[in-house]
Amino acid sequence: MLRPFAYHRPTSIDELVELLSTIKDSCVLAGGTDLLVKLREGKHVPPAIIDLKRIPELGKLSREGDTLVIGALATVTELLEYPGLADEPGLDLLREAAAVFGCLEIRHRATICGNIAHASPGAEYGSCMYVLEATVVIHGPSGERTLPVAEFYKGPNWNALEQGEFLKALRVPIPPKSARSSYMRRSRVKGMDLAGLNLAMLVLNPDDPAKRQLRLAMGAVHKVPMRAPEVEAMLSGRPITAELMAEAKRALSDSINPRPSSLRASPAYKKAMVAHLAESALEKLLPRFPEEVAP
Amino acid sequence: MTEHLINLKVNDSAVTIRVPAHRTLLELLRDVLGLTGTKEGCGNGECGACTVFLDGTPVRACLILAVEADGCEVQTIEGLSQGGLRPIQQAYAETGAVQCGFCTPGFVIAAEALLRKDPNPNDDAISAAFSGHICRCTGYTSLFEGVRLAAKKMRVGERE
Repeated sequence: MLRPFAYHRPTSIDELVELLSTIKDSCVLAGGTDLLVKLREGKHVPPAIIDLKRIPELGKLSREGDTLVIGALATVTELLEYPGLADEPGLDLLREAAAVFGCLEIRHRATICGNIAHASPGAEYGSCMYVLEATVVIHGPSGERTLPVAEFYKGPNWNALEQGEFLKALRVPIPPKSARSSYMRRSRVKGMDLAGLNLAMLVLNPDDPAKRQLRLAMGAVHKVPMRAPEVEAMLSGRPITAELMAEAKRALSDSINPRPSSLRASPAYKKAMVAHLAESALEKLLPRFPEEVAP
Repeated sequence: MTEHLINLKVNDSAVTIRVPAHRTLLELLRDVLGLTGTKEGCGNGECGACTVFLDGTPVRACLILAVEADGCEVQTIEGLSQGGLRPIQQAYAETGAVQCGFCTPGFVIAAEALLRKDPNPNDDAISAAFSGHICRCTGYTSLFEGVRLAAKKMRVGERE
């Protein structure tokens, strides 16, 4: 049994903002797959739940030039089935994350924006949006503002939304067709489980070591998803030889300091596994790996 | 607390009912409408026992508020077999995929949803469809066999 709360179902963004501004600590509802679990725990029951699903303006998925716009109501299943997504190798990571996200029934309800708004350190789409350098569109009483996703995350289950604001959409820059990407994770069981650790990688100009740019982000290693700028710099703009990779793996392991109280994996496991996942991702994304330096 | 008057279709019957905002769809089905075929296992969306069709899509009834189903069509295990046992139900009976039976309604809905999309699923597809369903009795082998048998029955049924 859930503890009582009020329920509102606005049909326009104006009505939603009005409700969010007047009912302090109210909570928005999209897919509900995180929220209902939280309500059931009963620790923090909001005075009101405000359902977004009858606001047609909030929309689902659309493409604006080189930007994929993920509306507040777009579910994981809808993203997985979005026409044309399979033709964008730079966004393969979004589909790979969808394939391991919860289970089929959860994916039918859970939204991408909800996954980000919940700000869980190991959320599938956290690391993905960090490497894609997505922008969060926030709507509130004084209109719209945008934030880079890395500034939206404040801590575990803590985001940058102020009273009266909600997450309206994610704007994802679509990488050039030559880019490649991958999402990998480790969980305790293969079926429905949260990630004990995840890694997202995006490689621009993968076939040309001199022009190559590599981005990687990790989830469930810190309070928020985390990029690895030093390792990214090491692995960009030059051939990735076996020696360089060994050095990069050590640097990546050293760059994280996971808390020992994690339920799903020990710090030692995460340090070793994050290096292994980075190597696996490169094996998958580069035509030759490790590379040789031309004599 | 607020109460809401909702209209929905449950197993092809129109239902108009007042529900408190904090009632889940699962509680509405089981405790108010008496449709106890849908089970509550974990109550957190993890076990799959409460799976029902909502507008034709399999979802977790424990993670949906009853008021969210306003204007929707819900089909439960009771509704699925209104016209007699479905091939998947017959197949589960034949392969011994039902032991204690608690997870069975969820596994029937999951398999039915799979077979509607993919009439000849391979083991990977079955595994994906079952990834959010837990069975503590069968060891899953007979559940997989059941889906394969149902697919065969449905193909034969089409030819006849």
